[in-house]
Amino acid sequence: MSASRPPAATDPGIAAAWRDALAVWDVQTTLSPPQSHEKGRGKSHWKGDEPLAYIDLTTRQVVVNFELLSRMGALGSLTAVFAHEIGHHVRFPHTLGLAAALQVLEQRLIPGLKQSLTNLFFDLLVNEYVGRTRAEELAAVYRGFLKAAGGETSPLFCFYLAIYEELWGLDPASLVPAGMVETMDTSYPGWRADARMFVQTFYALTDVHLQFVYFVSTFIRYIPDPSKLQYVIPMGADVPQPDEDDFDAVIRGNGSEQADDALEEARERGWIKDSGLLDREEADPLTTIDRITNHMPGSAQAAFRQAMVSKHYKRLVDQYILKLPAVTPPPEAALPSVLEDWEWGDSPRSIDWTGTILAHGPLAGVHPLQRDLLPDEPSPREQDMPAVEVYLDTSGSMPDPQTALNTMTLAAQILAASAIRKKGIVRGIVYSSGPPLVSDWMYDEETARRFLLRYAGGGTDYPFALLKKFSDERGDAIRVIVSDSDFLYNVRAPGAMDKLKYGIDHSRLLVAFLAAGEAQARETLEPVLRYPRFRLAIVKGLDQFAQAAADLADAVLGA
Amino acid sequence: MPFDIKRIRSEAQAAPLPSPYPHDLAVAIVNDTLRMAGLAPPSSKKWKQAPLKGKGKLHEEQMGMLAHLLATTSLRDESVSAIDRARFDAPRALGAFFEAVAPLTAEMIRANAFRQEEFLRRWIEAVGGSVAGESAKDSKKRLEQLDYRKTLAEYDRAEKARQAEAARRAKLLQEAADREAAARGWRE
Repeated sequence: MSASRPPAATDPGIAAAWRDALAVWDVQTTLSPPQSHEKGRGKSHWKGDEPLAYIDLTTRQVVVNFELLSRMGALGSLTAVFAHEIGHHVRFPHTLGLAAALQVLEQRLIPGLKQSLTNLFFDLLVNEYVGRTRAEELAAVYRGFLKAAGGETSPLFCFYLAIYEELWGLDPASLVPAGMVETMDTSYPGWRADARMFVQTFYALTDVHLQFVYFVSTFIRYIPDPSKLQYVIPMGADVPQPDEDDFDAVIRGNGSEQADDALEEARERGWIKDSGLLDREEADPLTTIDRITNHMPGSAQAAFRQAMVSKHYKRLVDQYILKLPAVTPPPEAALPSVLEDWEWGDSPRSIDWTGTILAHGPLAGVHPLQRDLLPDEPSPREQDMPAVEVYLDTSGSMPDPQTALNTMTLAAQILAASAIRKKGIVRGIVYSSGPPLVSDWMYDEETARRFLLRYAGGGTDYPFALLKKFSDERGDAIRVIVSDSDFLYNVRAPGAMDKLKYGIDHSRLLVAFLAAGEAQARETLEPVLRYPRFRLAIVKGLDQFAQAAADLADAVLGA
Repeated sequence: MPFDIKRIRSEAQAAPLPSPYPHDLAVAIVNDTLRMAGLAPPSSKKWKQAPLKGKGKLHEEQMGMLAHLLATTSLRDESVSAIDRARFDAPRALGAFFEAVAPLTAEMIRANAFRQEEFLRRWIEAVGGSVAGESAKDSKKRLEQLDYRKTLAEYDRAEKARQAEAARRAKLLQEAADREAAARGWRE
């Protein structure tokens, strides 16, 4: 293979380098041969700016930018680059679940960190292993990168390179740009000893979580402002970002015990206090979701956050209504039909001898009659799927459900899920002040859950006009108003009580499900309390909303 | 015969240390090694005096680890081969060895690959041996690189700087955390 011309992915030299790279890890893998990086390729390909190499841990495809490697004069390092990427697949992190767990831990220690350090962490682990046999090749990649970058680099990268100098027994400043040494000496006294101590401690730790806490406690010194951290390091962004399922597993507790143990040991060793890292308690799931998604780019953030929040609320909903929807057995055949002639080939069981004797008398034996039994179909009323309209108050008196647990939202989701699991349909009306958000009729839980996660956060202005409109449209719906004492204030407005009465008259049932004082609620709603289609359900504390919603769903929709 | 550090380390890994060696037992194992090399071991009295007595409180731990490595790996046989009876001065060589490994704890020697390698190399240096596959220059360079006393002395500067920066960093991170919490906040 020529050292100057970039090879094609089909080059025989590539296949040989790939074989050698697999041999570095001495494991049997089923990875496809590497592909050449091409800008703008499919969705699974890297989106960053001109990567050197990366592995897509979803498709387990290694991709190498031969052209960039050639420009850096590091084509001779192909085996090491391949081995590096294979290392992410076979060992560090192997699964993105670990990457997600470490990112959650990282956000706990360094709030507002813009770019995760986990990739650097995994690279340190991979390069130690690959460097046992191919240190010089890896060093050539870093030298080539620095040459292309003109020698200017960040303190973080200088320290990172000093670690490799110590690890691979290289002379000082053989990787770190000579021009940066003085700056580093002045700004970070003892940084070389720091790198040496790091190497001699980090690689001797046996638990990956403890290694990570030690890594963060050391590297934080070289990050002047975590909220602005953005680094470009060869092979420094080659592990993809964990997806929402990976993070969701962490929120459900995956790796949290190991993280707590690691933090405990780090506290004992003084790593956290000495480095100035924040020692925060484990956050509630919604805060964790907020921390994870805060640093994501805007468009990706909203969808990612909503998906994770939705999964979290689903678990909360399931705590109250996990019962599987009942499977209705087909109705039994019990109703006799008319008598017909029995013929050879028909089932003898279908012969109705009583009917035959009554019809044919002594000739019954030669001319039997049969009668089928028909299923007893339930009445159309019983077959009705419940249609439930949920009016959810999302005024500023309750938190945004995406950042803190909003028990009213949860209650609305429980009602919606209960109806849908009973083969019903749900319409959500999320209101505050201003025009309410109205969904179409929803047939699946996920859609309903996500819709009901919406939030306005303004004042409270119950949409009586909408209640009237929907009551006209569908008089068989069950309507549930989920609110607090603000609803009582709304209902005192001129004309509001009349519209409420209209809504009650044109609903199968209308439930005011309120977190409010009972006496005040009874007094305000006195004009409608005796209406047979109205129910007042009072919740005494916000923490009881969810259980009350489950009980209400059982009472209204049937257990 | 040169010492094969890799082999000794893998033998040590295969022989976990169930409990620390009593000091008297450790002394006996080192004495046995010297006897096997054809040397008269230091007397009990000499073991209680400098330089064999060691200086630090970690001395007994280090003796225990040395005894463990001698008893469970090929370090003893290779040491016996390496010791030059005519020139070896046990009190001086052992004294220099304990001086060089002074800051190493038993846990470091047991669990940290770098510290274990340093400990072994210091012992090899003390008995006048060489390391397989390395020139004397390479071995010296590696030993300098592994020198924990030197690292600690230099690291002290980094540690002091880190601690001086810690308060400022903690404030910066706390402010970031407060900003995050404020962004999540909701009107009561």
